[in-house]
Amino acid sequence: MIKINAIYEMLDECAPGHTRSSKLHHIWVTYNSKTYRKLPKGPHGKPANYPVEPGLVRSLARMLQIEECARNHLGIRLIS
Amino acid sequence: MKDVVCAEWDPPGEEWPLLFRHSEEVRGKDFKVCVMMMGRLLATIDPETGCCTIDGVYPGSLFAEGASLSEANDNLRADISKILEDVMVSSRNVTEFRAHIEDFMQATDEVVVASWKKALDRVRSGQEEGAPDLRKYDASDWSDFAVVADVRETQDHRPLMAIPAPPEASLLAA
Repeated sequence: MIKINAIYEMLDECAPGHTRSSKLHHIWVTYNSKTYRKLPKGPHGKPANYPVEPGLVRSLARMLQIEECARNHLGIRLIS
Repeated sequence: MKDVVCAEWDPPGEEWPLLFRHSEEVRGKDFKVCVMMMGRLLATIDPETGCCTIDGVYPGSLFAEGASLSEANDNLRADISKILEDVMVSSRNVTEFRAHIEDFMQATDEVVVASWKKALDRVRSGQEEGAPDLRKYDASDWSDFAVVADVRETQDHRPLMAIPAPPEASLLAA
């Protein structure tokens, strides 16, 4: 699992100038005219730095075309 | 339903090309719409654990996982509903709602698109069977699209469009 604060730090480095917009259920992340609409807001009543599934972060990084930078920032080894 | 964490960044396992339909009514403060979408998904099944991750192909910004394909599919449907609610609260009118859905549908992930095509080739060549209860559907007959209908347009009781009931499970592209 990847903590949401680590994802925000990754976005700051890999998607400079991106915007985050909090909605009812998700946080929309917009970068380079692309919007990812599925970053979870986290369960109510849980710690602010909640964990997010790695597969979802991969999906976010690919959608924003920052996967290589995201892997490097988060220390994800390239398997294939 | 979301307690399972199936995979690390690169999930291991067999890849199945799926087709899906989703339709539902979304109500906002000022307007109400019917959304029908047809798209493609890539499921990755870990043969040892049965764990399933689903990546969106069209639209690309979908992701779900579960202890089985069925559970991942349920999680995906629930998430689509939440995405539609988010779109509703971000739209002042039907036109804005449509624009958000159009943008959502057009976002694709080229890596997953390529994997989906390879998985389809494996199904067509008989190397991949999918699950026994997964119905096959000819992908050549499939179109990816979304329709957003303003429900107020139906108040004169004319049928606006035929919305098929969403299937309980996705289809295996063949």
